[in-house]
Amino acid sequence: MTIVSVPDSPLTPGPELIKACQKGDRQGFQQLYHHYHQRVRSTLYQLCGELALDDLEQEVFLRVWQSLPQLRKVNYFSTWLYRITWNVAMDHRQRLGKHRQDQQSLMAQAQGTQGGRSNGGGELLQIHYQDLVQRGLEQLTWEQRSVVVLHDLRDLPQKEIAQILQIPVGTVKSRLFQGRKNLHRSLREEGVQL
Amino acid sequence: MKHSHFPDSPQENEKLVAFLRRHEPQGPPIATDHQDQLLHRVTRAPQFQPQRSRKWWIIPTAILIGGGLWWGWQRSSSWIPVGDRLAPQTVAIQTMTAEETAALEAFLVSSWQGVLETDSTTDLDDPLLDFERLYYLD
Repeated sequence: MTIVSVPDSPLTPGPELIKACQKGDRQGFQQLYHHYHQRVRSTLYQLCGELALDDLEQEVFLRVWQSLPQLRKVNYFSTWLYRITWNVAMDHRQRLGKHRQDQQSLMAQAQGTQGGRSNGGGELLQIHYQDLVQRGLEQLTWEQRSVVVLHDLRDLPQKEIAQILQIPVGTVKSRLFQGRKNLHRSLREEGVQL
Repeated sequence: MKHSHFPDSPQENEKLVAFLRRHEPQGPPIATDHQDQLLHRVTRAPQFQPQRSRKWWIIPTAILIGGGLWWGWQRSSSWIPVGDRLAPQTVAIQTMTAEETAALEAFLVSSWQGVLETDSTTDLDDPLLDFERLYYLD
């Protein structure tokens, strides 16, 4: 299986596009989807793993589409979108229960690895490191993982993460510190030298 | 016990973040046909239109109820007992007979006498009086 990173469109959708979508513009929503879907999908994958990824992505964009008319400040669309993404991931986590999710995630990973991701040395190494990062993320607590994913992988500022998760900025900082510390340890234990 | 070494320096953080971004787990890509189906399903769903606040009626209703209660209280406080019924104060004053006035005066005098008479069992200078009021009588 080849992992393809679909680059986001360089132009951020403006308020006009979001306002059009609020009025039911389906074509406009397709543009919105194509701009954000890879980020949403990656975030969901990093938070929840591979299982039910398509369904979760659909759930996020369904909630976005349905609730868009209720969004008052279109400039906060990105923050709002990540909050929905996090809520969907959180709901999924609660539905499954942590133990069951971990088991299924490991099974899915094992199947994915057996499914033939290897296509050459460099790519194999990249997949290996991606798996290490994913496993390291899974070993973090949910709270730490959420902050590390949003801050270090989505590159969101701490203030915005505080808004998304509805926690103080100080809590974001402490979770980020602990999360990085645990991730660092996890990678070192796997033999990764940073 | 093995302790992990995590120097919280900006350089170490940068290295970690760079590694994470370079090897960011992407997850399997969504199939194109599935993407189309997703968009089709999503955009066919009805949108939730913002509802106008249904609380707009609370303030005028509260004013009306408050006004009604105030009016009722004003009315009831201006009624006094006359015999075994209530009557508006103005009407009662006009219709009060000489016997009723005398009875009212006698009632007031007897009530105030009780207040002015000294109770022999109560010593107002007793230092424990306030103590008892505070700790036992309340």
